[in-house]
Amino acid sequence: MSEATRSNLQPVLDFLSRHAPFDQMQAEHLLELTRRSKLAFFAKGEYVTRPEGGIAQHLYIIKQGRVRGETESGEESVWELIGGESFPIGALLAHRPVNTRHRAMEDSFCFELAADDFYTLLDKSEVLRDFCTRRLANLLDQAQRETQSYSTFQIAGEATLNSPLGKLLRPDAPYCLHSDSIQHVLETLQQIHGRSIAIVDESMRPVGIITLRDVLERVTLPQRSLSDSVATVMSKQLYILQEQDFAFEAALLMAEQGIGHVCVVDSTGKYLGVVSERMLFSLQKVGLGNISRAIQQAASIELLKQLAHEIRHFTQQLMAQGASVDQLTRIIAALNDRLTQRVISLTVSESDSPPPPFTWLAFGSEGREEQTLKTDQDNGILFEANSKSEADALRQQLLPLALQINHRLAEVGFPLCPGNIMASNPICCLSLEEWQARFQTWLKQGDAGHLLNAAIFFDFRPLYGPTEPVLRLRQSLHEGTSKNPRFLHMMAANALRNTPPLGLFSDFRLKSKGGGPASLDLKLQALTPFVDAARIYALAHNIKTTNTQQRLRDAAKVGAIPLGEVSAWCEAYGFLQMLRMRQHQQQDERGDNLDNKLAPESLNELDRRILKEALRQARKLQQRLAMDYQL
Amino acid sequence: MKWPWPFRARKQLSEAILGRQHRWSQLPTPKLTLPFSQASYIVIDLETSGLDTRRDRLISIGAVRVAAKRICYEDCFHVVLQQHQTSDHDNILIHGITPTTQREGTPPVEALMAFWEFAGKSPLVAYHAPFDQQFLLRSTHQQLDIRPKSKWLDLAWLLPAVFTNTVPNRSPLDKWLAHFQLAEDGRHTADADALATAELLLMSLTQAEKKGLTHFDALFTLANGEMKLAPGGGF
Repeated sequence: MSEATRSNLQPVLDFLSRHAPFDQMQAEHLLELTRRSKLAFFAKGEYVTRPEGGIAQHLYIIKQGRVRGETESGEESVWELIGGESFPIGALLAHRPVNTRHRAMEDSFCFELAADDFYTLLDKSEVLRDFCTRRLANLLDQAQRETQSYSTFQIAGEATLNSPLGKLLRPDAPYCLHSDSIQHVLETLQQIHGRSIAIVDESMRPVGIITLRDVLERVTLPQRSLSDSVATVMSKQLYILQEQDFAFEAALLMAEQGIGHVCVVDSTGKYLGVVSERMLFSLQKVGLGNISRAIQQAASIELLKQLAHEIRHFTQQLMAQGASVDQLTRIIAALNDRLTQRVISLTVSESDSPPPPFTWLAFGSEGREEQTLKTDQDNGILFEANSKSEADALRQQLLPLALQINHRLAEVGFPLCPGNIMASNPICCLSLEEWQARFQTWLKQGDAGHLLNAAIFFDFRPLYGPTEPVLRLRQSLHEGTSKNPRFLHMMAANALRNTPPLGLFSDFRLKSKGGGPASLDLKLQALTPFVDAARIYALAHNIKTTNTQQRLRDAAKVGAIPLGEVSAWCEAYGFLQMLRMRQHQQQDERGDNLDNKLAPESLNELDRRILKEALRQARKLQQRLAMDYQL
Repeated sequence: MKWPWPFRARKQLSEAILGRQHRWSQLPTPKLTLPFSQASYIVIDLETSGLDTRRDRLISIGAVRVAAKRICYEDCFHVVLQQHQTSDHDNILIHGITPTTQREGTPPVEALMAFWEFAGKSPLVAYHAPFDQQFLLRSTHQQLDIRPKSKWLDLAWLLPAVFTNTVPNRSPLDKWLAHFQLAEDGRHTADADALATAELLLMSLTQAEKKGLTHFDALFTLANGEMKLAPGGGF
C-alpha cells in the first residue's frame, strides 16, 4: 500500500480502533477492513437495509449518527444502533436477506464493507469472528429493549457473571425523582423504551422502583390520577447492591427473592443504575428460528459445513457468556438435529433411485440431546421388513446410503464413531424385528457387554423418517424390561460401582496422575451417575423420554422419585455439564485434545463450592437408587 | 496541449513523463450526465504556502475518489511536493508539514503527473474550487506543460444551494463541518480535509437527489447559479 493511502486511512483507523471489536483486531486485519471499506451517507429516514433487498450484500459500521432496526413483527422488536456498532451480522452470516429494516434516525455515515470482503476478513480474524457470532446470539434475541445497556455488556466481551456490577451499567442510567408526577415517570419510561425505572430522593439515594407491571396494577386499574407523585405508587421494597459486588450476587439475589431488578449504588449510597434479569440472562433467551431456517434451506454440504462451523462458534460464545447449560445443550442438540436431518435429506435426494423407507436413529448423548461441542456419531437405521430375506435385501440397499451419510456427517463436523456404532455398520442397520430381538437378547442374558450396550442404545431417538416404528421399538423395550427385572437390578448395581469423588466429610476425593494437579473425571465420576440413574428410572417406570433431566422430572411426576429432590438433581447435572463444556471449549481454544479431567483447584471459589454441592447431589441420587434396588 | 512555439523556454520533460502524459491524454472523458450511482468524482484539497495563486507555492495535494455515492478509501491520493524554500511558520502550524518533510517531498513533476494519473479526467470537487483549480492548473502547466480540461464543482456554492438556510454563503469550510458535526479531530492536513470535504459531497448528493438533481452537470449549473445570485457574485 502506498504512503498516500495509509495516511488517508488514518482517520478511519483511528475511529475503528476506538470501538470493539475492531480495537482488538490485529493491525493487518484492521488495515484490510479499513482499506476495503467505503463510506456511505444515509439521510434521516432513509433505509440502509430492508428485507426486499435480497441476500445481505454489505456490512455496515456506523461512523456517525443513529440507525434504528425494526422487524416486521412490530414495535416489540425495535432497537437503536449508534456509532461503532455494526449490522446486519445475522443476515450476512446466514447468507440470507435481512429480517430487519435498518433506517437512519438522523443523518448518518456508515462504513460499508462488501459481503465478500467481510467473509474473507471473517476467515482471517478470530476476533471479528467471535464478535460476530456473539452478536448473532444477540440478534437472534431481538426483543431487546435494553439493547444499549446490554450490548455494551456483550461487547465488553470479558464481562460475565464474575464482573463487578458497576461494569454492566451504562454511565447515564435513567431515574426519576420521588416528587415527580406519575405522568412524568411514564413519559420518561416511554422515552427510554424502558420497562422499569428507579426512583431517587433529592440526595440521589434510591428510594423505590416502578415497573410497567406496577403501572398496570397500581395506576391503571385503580384509576389513579397521573398528577399524583410517583412516590405514592412505587415499590418501596428495594434490593440494593454496591457497584463492586459481582453480577452473580445480583443473579443469586434475583433467584432467591424472585425479583427482576436490583439497584446498584456507589460506596456512598448514591444511585448508579439498575441491573435487570434481562441484562444478566439476556443470552439465555436465544431464538433458533434463523439458524434453523438457514440449515433447512442449505442446498449443499459445503454450506452446511459452514453453518456447522458457525453453530459451534455461536454456542461457544453463548457458553462464554454464561448461558444456562440446559438451554445450551438443547440448542446444540436442536441445531445438530437440523444439520443431521438436512445431511440425510440432501443425500437421499441425490441418490439415483429413492431408497426404501427408513428411520435414522440417534444413540448415546445425541439420543439424550446432550451433545457437547464435539460429539462422535452414534447412530443407526431402523426399517420395516416382513421376512429375514427382505430385511437382508433392504439392508443391502440402505448400507451404501448410510455410509455416505456417515461420511458426510463427519465432513460437517460429527467425527466418525471409533466404536463403529454407526448406521453403515450392518449390526446397526436393522429391521424393527431385528432391533427388538437384539434388545431382548441383552435383557435376557445381561452380561457386562450388554450392560454397556444398553447404556448407549437404549437412549435411542428418531431423527429422520417415520417415527411410529420407533415408538413400537420403545414399547417393546419397556415390556421386555418389566419381564426381566434382573436386568434393571444389574444396571443399578453397575451404576453404583461408579461413585462421585467425594470423601467421607464431603471433601473431594481425587486422583493425581504423574504429578499433575489432583483431578476428577467429569464425565465418568460426575455426569454418568445422573445419566445412569435417570435411564434406570425411565426403563422401570415406562418413561419414554431420553433426556436425562427430562427423565428425572418425568420420574418424579409418576412418583418414582421425590419431586423435591429432582430440581436440585437437574440443576446439579446442568452445572456439571456446563463445567465439562467450558473445559472443552477452553481446550479447543488452546488446540489441546478434549478430555474430561478437571482439577477443582483450577476453579474459582464459587464454582468449586457448587461443584462440591453437585457431587453431593449425585451421591444422594445414588443413595436413592441403592435404596430402591436394595443394593 | 503543447506550446507550439519552440523559442519559448520549454521545460525539459523526460521521455518517461512524456509517455505518461500521452497515456493520460488518451483517457476517455467521462459523461457529466451519468447518474450519481454510476459516476465517479475526485474530491481534492490543496495546501499552499499562501493565498496568492501566482506567487505562492503548492505544498501538498490530498484527494479521494467518490464513486457511486461512496467514499472509496482505497482510492485516495496524497503527495507532499518537494520545496526549495520552505513555507512560512504560520502555515506549518496549520498543516503540520515540517520544512524537512517539505524538502524531502516528491519532485513536483512527478507529484503532479501522479495526481493526474490518479484523477484521470473525472470531474473535480473542492471547497472554494476556483482557488484549488487555479493553483493546480498553474502548477500543472508550469511543470508538465499541459492544461487539463476537467470540470470543477465548488462545494462552497453547492452546499448553500442544496442545504438552504443552514450556513450562510461564503462561510469557511469549518462552518459546514461544524454544522454537520463532521470535523472530528480538527486536523488540517490535505488528506483529512479532503475526506471531510468528500463527506460533505456525499451529503450534498443525497440532498440534491431529493431536489430532483441526478448528475454532475445539474449540480454544476446549480452551484453556478447560486454564485451568480449571491450579492457581489463569485469568489
